Amino acid sequence: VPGPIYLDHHATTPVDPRVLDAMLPYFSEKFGNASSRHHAFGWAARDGVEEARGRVAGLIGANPREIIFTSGATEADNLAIKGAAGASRSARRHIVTVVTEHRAVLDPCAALERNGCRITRLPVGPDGLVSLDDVRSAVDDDTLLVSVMTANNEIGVVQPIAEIAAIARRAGALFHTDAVQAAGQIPFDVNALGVDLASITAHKMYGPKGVGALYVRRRPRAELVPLIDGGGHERGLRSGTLNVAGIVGFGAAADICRAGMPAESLRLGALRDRLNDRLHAGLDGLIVNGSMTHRLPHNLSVSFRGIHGEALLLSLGDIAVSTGAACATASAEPSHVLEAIGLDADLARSTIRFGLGRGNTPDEVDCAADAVVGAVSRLREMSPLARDR
Amino acid sequence: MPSARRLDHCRRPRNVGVLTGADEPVGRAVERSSDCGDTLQMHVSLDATRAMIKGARFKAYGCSATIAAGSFATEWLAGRQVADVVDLTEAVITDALDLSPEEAHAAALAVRVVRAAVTDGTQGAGR
Repeated sequence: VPGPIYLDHHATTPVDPRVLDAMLPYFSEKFGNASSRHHAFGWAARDGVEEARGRVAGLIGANPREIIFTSGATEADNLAIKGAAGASRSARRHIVTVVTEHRAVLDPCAALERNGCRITRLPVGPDGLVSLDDVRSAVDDDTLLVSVMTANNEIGVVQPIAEIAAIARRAGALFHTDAVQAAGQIPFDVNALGVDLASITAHKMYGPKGVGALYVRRRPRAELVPLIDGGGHERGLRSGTLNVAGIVGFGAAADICRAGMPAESLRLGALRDRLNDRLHAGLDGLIVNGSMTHRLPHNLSVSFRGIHGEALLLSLGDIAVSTGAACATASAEPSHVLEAIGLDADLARSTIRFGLGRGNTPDEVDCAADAVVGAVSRLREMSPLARDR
Repeated sequence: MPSARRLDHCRRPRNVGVLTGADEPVGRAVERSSDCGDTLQMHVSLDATRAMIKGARFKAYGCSATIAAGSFATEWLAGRQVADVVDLTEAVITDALDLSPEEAHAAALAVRVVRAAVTDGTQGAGR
């Protein structure tokens, strides 16, 4: 297989050439400000934005008026969590979330906690799934928001979102989900799931970086206060001149994902299983992290006992994957997700995350699996901790 | 981005293995980082007078910086006088491999294990 092999699609995805083609005019002849209401340049930009809004909404089964464009998912998560907590009609001060959430959810919750909110962080089982009984026990009449990610960015585990959303609704709380890893990859419909707020981003679905969206339910209305004031863009929830080209790219990316999703999901699931099988055929001492049943089709998180994931990554040369640990620090803090599912620090540090994507082929997967088998074998061979060595 | 030299030592580590000490004095040591669990094992072979280091072999468990530091140390040691081992400092390894401050633990670990192995060999315990 010539050239580098990219298997890190949970980190980001390449911009689809069709997306880039859709974006380019908005850097040149259609450069207008979407808020300029009195000339053709502004109208062209606004048309592009509104068409994209419809496409993004279509991907998740929303009304276009429920889509608030942001700079990305981190901003969308912050707007959902801090915005809900700050909404004037909300006297409630309790938020329920899960320990395996992305930092874009955990950190805003921690910030609110410092300002007097009560935060419950639910554990997950060894399979990475949150218990519905735990959610039921956690919510009370003070709960303003339940925030549970749809699919985990490290171990790919897909939570029972519809069931959790129903629990939140019965408690009178809003339900938010960080759907960054799920939207565009697996079916995600805000009405079927009963979601009030959902964060998504373009660059995980072959769109550009720097543009995301928050879905905000209109009926019943999910009340939020904005994080950014100044001009009242995006229905007053996100002021600032719109990133027109990025939004147009987001729309194109959403359309492409929506059209190709069923076939692509099956294809990637088969590729993932092929990778998993080949790794297991070549190595012993492998642990697959997280449920294989409730999982994104393109994710595989594997711990290779007896080696260090960062060393494996750098040994692989032209194969781009990701470790399960924030490494290269003196303390080498392992991933909070892997810790939450019960991995000890050494095992967490031995973990690699594979994220398959649109461009990957069976040949690439075989090549990557063989390279990993070779590198893990060599690293184990040179370990002073290995038995009988 | 890791330096080319560090990547080279990580991808093609030199002198991996053990020394049996069948024909010459050998000093051995294993050191583990209490911070992150990285572990280096170092074997050094000495000449008959135990004044010169003939060669070294290492094994490593840890990040790429630790593997590269162990590999670099074995190359540095070969042919050196025992008295010169103090010249292998953290700074020497850090500079050679362009390690970041956060990766200095790898250089410290290599220095510790080298000195312990040489001490083991020169004090006559090693064989």
